[in-house]
Amino acid sequence: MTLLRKVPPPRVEQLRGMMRRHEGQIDACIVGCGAAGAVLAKELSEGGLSVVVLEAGEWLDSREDFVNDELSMLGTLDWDDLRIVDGDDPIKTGRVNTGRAVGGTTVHFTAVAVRLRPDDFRVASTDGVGVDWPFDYDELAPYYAEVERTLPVSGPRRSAYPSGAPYPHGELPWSAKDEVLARGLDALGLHVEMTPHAIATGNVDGRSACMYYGFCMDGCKSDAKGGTHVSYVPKAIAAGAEIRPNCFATRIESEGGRATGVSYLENGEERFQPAERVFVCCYAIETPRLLLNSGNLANSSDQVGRNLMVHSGPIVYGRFDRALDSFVTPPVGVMTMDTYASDAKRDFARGFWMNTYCQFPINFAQALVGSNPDLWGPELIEVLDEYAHWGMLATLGEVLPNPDNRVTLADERDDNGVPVARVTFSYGDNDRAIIEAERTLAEQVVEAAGATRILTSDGTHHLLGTCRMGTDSATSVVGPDCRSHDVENLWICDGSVFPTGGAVNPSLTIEAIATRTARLLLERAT
Amino acid sequence: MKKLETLGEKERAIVEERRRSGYRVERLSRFGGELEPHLRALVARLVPGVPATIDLAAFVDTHAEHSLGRGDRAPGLPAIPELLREGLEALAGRGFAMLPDDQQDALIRRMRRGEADEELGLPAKEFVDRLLVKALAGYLAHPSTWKQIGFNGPAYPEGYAWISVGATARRHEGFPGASRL
Repeated sequence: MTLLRKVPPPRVEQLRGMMRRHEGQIDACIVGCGAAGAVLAKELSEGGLSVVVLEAGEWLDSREDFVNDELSMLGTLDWDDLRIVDGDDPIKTGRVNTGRAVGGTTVHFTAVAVRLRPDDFRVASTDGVGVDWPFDYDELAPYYAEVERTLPVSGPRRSAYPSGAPYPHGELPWSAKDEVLARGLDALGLHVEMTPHAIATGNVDGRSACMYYGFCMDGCKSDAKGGTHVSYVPKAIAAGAEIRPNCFATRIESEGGRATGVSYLENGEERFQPAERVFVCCYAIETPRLLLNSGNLANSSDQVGRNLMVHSGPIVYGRFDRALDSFVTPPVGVMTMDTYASDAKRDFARGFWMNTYCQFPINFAQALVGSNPDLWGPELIEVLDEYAHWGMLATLGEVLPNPDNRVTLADERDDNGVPVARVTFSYGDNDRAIIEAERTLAEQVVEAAGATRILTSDGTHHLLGTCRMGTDSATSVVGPDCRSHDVENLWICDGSVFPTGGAVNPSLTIEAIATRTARLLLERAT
Repeated sequence: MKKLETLGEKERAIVEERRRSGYRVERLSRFGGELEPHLRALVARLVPGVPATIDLAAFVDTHAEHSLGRGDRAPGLPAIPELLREGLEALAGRGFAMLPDDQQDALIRRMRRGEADEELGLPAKEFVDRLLVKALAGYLAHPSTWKQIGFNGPAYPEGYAWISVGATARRHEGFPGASRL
C-alpha cells in the first residue's frame, strides 16, 4: 500500500536548493519552460539526459509571489514585450495568449484540458481544407492519457465526446453560471457536460485540492491548478534537470548544419550554453522570432513563421435578474462540442466549441469597451454595477492555416537590441463564417437561458502554427517527431508545430506532443 | 468582501493601501501642469460617478508605463505613454476641459468610433481606448468599487463558500440588487 503524501509540495526556494547544476557540454538545452519545455525537461532527464532549461521569465512561488489581485498580476505573468501587429485583423498579444515565467502560459491559463478529436488530425482528407497531421489521434491518445494522469486532469466520468473520461480526478462542481447557462444550451438541444480541467479536485503530491479562489488566471495559490511549474518542474528537478530563470535566449548557434548551443542573456550578461541537442519551446511568436534571429535557422522550406493560427473567440455576455457570482469557481465551466466538426447543414468547414466563462472585473471591462465603441460613461457604469449579474458564454472557433498569416522580424528592437516580432494576421472567409455562427448561436443560447440584456466582445485566443510539422521537408519545418528537417540536432516543440489548430485550448495537446517527442528521442538514442 | 483579517498578508496589504491612498498623489508626475485639467475632465466623462476618495486621473498618471498585460502595437504607433501625452496635448489645444459636457461627450463619441483621428491629427481612437482601459483598471482594482459591483475581492486563503444557484441567491439577500431576484 502506498501512503498518501500529505506534506506540502516544495516551495521554489527548496527546489532551487535541491537542484543540480550543469557546466560545459550538456545533452539537451531547452529554451522556454512552459507547456512543452517543462514536460521535455522531466521526460529527458528521467531518461538519463543532462538537461538545462533557459527561461526568460522569473521563477515565481505560488504561495509567495502570486496574489489574489487582478491588477497586481497583470504584466507580472505575461509576455508583454513589444510586438508589432498588423494585417486586417491585428492580434492583441500579452495576457490573452502568452506567458513569461517558469511554467510559461500554464501559470495563468484557465486550465482547460480538452483533447483534440480524431477529426482534427485529418481535415484535408475529410473536410477538404487545411492539411492533415502527420499522425492520427490514436498515435497521440496514450500520451494524452499519461499527461492527464501527471497534471492531473479532473473531468466527467463519462463524456459524449472523444476524451480522457473517466478522468483521474472527479469533475469540478457546477456553479450558478453553469446551471443558468446550461438551461439555454438545453433549450437549443445541445449536449452539456463539465469541461475537463488541469485542476486537482483531490490531493495530489501534497498539492491542495481546488479551493475555488476563482483567481486561476492570476496564478493559482493552492497549487491545485496543474501548471507545469507545479506538475512537471519539481519532477524534472528531482531527475537532475537545471532550470535557469531570467535567461533570455538571443541566438541558437550552429556550425556545419548542426546546432552547437544557445547564446543567452542572464540579467544582461552574455552567456553561452553548449549542447548536444537544442529544443526551441517558446510558443508560436517567440519560437519563429528566435529562429529568424539565428540566421534564418531551420528554414530551407521558407515555412518558419508562416501559417500563424489563432482561435476566434467572440464572447457573449448575458445579464440575468439573479446574481451569478461567476467569479467563485475556475473561469471555464460547462461546455458543448456539438458544434465542433464540419456539418453539411452549415456553409463553412469545421466549427467551434462553447463553454461558460468568467472574466474578472478589469478583464470584463477591457473586453467590453474594446469591442463596443459606444460603451463608456453612464452606460458603462450601469453594466459594471451589475457585474455579479452577468453570465458569459465563450466560443472558440477553428481558424484555417494561411501562409500569409505570419511572424516576421520588425524594424523595432527590444531593450537588448534584438529585433522584435512582427505579427501579421487576417481572417479568411471560412474563419469569418465560423465567427458569425459562433456569435449567433451563443446569443441564442444566452437569450434562451433568460438573459434580459446581451452584449458581445470579439477577440482571439491562443497562438498556433508558424513551424509546421509534416513529412515533406519542402512544406514543413519539423518532422512528425518535432525534429528539424534541416538541422538534425534541433527540435521545435510547442504550439508552433500544429499543422491545424482545432478549436480547443492547446496546452494539453502541446504537453502530449512533448511527451511523445521525448519518448521517440530516447528510444532512438538507446 | 471578506473580512480583512481572514485575508492573506499580501492581499490585506493591497486592500488597505488602496483604501488609504485611493491612488491620490501630491502632484501628477507625467501629465501635470496644463494637461491635468484635460486629463481630469476626460476621465470624469469616461468613468463618471467615481467617489471623490478615488483619483483615477492620478492612477492613469502613475500607471502610464504599466503594460496591463499587453505588448502589441500597430506599426508607427508611438509607445503608449507618448500616445497618451500626444492625445492630451491635442485635447488641451481644443480647450477640452472648458467645453460644455455635451461637446465633450460628442468629441469622446467621435474618438471612440474612430471618427476623430483626422480631426485631432493622431490615432485618437487608440488614444482614448488605451486611456479608458487604464482608468478602468484603477476603478475596478479599488475595494470600494468591488463593493459597489458585487465582486468579492481576494479569496485567499479560505476560498469562497457559495457556488450553487441557491447559495448565490442567499448571499445577495440584502444587497441593492436583491430586490430584482
